[in-house]
Amino acid sequence: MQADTATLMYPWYFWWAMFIVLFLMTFIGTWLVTRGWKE
Amino acid sequence: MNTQFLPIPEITLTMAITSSIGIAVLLGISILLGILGKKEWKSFDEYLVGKRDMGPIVTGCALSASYLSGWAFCGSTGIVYSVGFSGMWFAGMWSLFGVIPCIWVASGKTRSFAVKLGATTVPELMGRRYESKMLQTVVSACMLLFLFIYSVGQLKAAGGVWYAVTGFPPVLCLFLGVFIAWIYMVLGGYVGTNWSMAFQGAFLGITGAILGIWALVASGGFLEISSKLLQQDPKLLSLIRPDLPKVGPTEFFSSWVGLLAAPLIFFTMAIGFPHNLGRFLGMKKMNKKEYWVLVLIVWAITGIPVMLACSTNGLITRTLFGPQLFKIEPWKADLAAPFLSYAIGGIPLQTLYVMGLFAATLSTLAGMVMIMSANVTRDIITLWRPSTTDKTLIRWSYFLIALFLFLPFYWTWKRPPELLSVFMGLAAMGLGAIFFFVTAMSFYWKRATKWGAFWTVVYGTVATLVGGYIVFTKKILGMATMEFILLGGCLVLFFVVSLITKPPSRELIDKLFTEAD
Repeated sequence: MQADTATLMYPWYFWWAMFIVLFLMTFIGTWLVTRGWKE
Repeated sequence: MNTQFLPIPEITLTMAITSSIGIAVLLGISILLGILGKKEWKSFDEYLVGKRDMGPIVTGCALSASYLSGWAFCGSTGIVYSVGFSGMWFAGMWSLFGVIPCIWVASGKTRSFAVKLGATTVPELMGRRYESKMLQTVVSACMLLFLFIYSVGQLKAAGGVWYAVTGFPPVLCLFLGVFIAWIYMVLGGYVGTNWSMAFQGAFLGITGAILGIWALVASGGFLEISSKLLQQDPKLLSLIRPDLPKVGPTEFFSSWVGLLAAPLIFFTMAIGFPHNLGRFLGMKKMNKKEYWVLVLIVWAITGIPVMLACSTNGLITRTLFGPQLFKIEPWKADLAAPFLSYAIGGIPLQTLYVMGLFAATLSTLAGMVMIMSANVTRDIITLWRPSTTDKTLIRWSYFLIALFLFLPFYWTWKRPPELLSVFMGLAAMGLGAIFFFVTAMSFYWKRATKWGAFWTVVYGTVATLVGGYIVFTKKILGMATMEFILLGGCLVLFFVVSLITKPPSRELIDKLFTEAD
């Protein structure tokens, strides 16, 4: 069975999006939580 | 023999011996940490929470270990192996969406409320937050019920994988595992258990990362994986599988309802799990730098390793072994992860994987058992018989820890009762839905009342048990739809009942929400 690259890579785009979104969520969220804290 | 795929690995003596040595090393280090923890407690209070001085590294590793069960380290790979990409949402791609907000929402507040109220367990914290001994008992009984049901299935994956890779009966290995867990929990109390869990968490994080990255590199890349999956079955590339039943657990893979429910489940479970919140009871007050270290540790252990375990690991195993694992009774897809580790890294990587799986299993079980034991000693015995001596309570703890470790072992060895198996499926969802509101929301919403919490606990418990029956026995409802019914009911009852009942005392609100830590 043959398929073009876009079809084969389609689910991986969502996979990468999950990695990036959850990475950003972790660091932006923690920065927001701690930005007002005094050392 | 199918030459398109790798042959099923056969057990060798070297495989069995190295796995046995690996588990012995893991258990040996855990017991050593338990012995060291013995010096850290003198009273029953210290046995339950130590000196509240746990740093970010131990807390972060222990939190990850308590959250990541054997299922996360083994079952999740099996799901994606079975159904392809559509399985990754429920298998754990959303894990970080649960555990990182758990730190933001619950870490500081759990610690600060527990110190202000002098609480050593989550139910005691709730009893004092809501000014009600009745609620403390109800919360304790509910936690005990769900943690007990949830704990029964914890050893299953480890036992199955052990037998599959060594050929040795799992009874002896699992018995040794729970016996050693009992020793380090009894000796070390909260501190020793936390140290052992932290070691196990760090170990499973490193092993998971090695396995996931190694497999991805060895696979030939994303395009190669997709091409091989397409040759086997184009449906394995689908992000949703409408061809699968929309009732029972497969609703998570077959519909948008399932897709939307998965992040909600991970979010509420991580924040609501009492064995997760328990990690914050003995934590020190963190400054900004320590808080970042805590987040980074949890991100490193729960992020990359779990996201790869619940996506690429399963897909790559499918490309290597095809559908052959479905024919291996009774473990089937649960063998995906151990066979993948053997296929790419031989016996050394498989040994590391088996050790990681035991670490994940024992740490989650230990976290739950410690909470269950305290539910009885602190939240029932001490609450209603305050004159009970520390010595008696500690003896009770030794017995209860043994009991709550032994029963999951017994039911892994012998088949668990049918009714218990039915309820097991939704126990984690029930715990998350109930305690997300009753504990975490009560840290922020001053108007939360004991009656709002009480009816949330009652509804959540009944809905979970009835839901288990109609999802798994009657098979007339999807598990994801059940999550919305469970969560929606808990949300409405918690807020509406709280608003129409007498608010907490002004004195308590000032103490919790106005006074500095």
